[in-house]
Amino acid sequence: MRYSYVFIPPKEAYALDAAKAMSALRRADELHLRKTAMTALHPAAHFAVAFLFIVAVLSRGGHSLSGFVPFVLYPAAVMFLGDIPPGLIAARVAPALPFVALVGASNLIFAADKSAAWLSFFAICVKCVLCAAAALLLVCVCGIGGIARALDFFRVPKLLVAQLSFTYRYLHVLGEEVVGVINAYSLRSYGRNVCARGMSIRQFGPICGGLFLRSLKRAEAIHAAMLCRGFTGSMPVAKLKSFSQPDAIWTLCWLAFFTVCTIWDLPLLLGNLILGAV
Amino acid sequence: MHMADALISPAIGGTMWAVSAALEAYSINRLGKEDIVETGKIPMMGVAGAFVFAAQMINFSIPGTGSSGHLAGGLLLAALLGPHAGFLVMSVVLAIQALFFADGGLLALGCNIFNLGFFPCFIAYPLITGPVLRGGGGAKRVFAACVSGALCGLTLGSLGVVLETYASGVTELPLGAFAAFMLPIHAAIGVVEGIVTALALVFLRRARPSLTEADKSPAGLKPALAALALCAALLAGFVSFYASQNPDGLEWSIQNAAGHSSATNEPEIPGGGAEPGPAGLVGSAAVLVVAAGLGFAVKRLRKPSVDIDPSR
Repeated sequence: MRYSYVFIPPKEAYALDAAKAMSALRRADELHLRKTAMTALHPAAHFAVAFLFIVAVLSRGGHSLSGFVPFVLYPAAVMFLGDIPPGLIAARVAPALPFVALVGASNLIFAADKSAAWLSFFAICVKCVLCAAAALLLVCVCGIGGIARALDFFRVPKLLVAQLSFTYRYLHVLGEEVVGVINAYSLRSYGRNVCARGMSIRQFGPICGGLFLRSLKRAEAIHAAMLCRGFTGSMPVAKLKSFSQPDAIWTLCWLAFFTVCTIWDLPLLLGNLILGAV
Repeated sequence: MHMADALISPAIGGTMWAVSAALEAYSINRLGKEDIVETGKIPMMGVAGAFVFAAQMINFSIPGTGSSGHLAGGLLLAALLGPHAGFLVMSVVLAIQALFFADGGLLALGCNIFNLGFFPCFIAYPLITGPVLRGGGGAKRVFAACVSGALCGLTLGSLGVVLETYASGVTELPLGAFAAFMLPIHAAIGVVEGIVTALALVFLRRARPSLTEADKSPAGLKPALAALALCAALLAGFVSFYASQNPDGLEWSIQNAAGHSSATNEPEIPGGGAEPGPAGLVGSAAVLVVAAGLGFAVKRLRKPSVDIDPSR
């Protein structure tokens, strides 16, 4: 009798990327469950300040890097007051940099003034880091529930808010299914490294279709359960606290700070003041 | 193809937010006319969004390149849910990607929704893929429709990225070079996306044929035309105030080479000192009227076709 030997690789790396993505999603959302100074504020205040921060950073010209330094105060304050690990934010912001840096590097090639080109390149990178950090910090202090409350506060249509909540909830369920699908495929593909090479395109279609059919069955069961419990088309959003004075003070103070930082180069002014005094 | 906040200006970001918000409102209004509660479309839309997310975590190998890719999902969502629901779901998926994964930015979300949601759901699907899927036909027709639709959707989306980045004035990258870099790559990605979408749709058609007939009433051209008109109005009426006074690439080259700024030495137009905003609006409206007039004139002048009655 002849035996054929099949090399079976270790299975711990099969669905690593998918498992890491789900774990990162869960971790960012769970940070808002802790009791900190940031979680005591209304999510609408956080949403408004984050948006104003992004607009202010992007409105700042790229002719002086020192002008961006005061903007670091906002993410630093949120991380400190919200007890958010800076390493988590840095790890999530880093993947966003390469494409932006590539486009910014075009300034080094095509701009006539090379020193201005370097300034604009670094300015684009700094803007990318600051804006990405603001969006991630918003999720860390509010969570998806808080973002839904903020959108409801700003009168966003209930259907859209409901879709955000639904999609996020089902994402965790389907994420575990995907890890299972990748593991099952890898164990049956004789050592093909699905993480590195991906699965065969001919098999991806039916696998994708099968995943959708399973998702659909869950959706139908959930829909029936929701109708039995009186679902009328909109997800009820918990109004835990109303927008109050501390929220307004938080928003207005940061708005004033961002306005000043956008119009004037504060470090430059401070430096001139110090040197003038000396 | 997700745009980051750092690559756009507040003016362009705000404009595209306004356009995307208008499209969202239109889609919600259209969905409000269907009985989405009883038909179970709401949880299905949520699951479809999560499904697109989940499917994006599974990479497939691209033959002949040695690399791998993942599904984008806009065309698949439009085929399964209809263009309006597909657009809403795509915008929610992009919002979650921007918030949780820093994939795109909050201010750039309007641009990403327009590039990745509007073109597949309101241009590619209603004009190319949708008619073929509703008309029936075999797997070959589905493949051709999906590949054409995905190619169109992704190429237009990448063109949107190029135009929005260029209009923002953040980079010195010339429009031609940027377009030459982005469009071919995304056209190739579109072909692969179309093949993968077709494979999934063929499987789903065999398993549950009713799924791919979700859109009983086609979206038509109205939302596409309205969105493009709103875009043009906002760009011409407001963003033009922020237009750069610096010479463009051609003028800069001529200035450096020949020592004068004008490429053609053309004289100044008398009375041509109008404000950019109102002039832009009036000009856009005039172009629209002339184009519509030409279209009507051609239609009237064309000879009517003779209907041949096969029974005679």
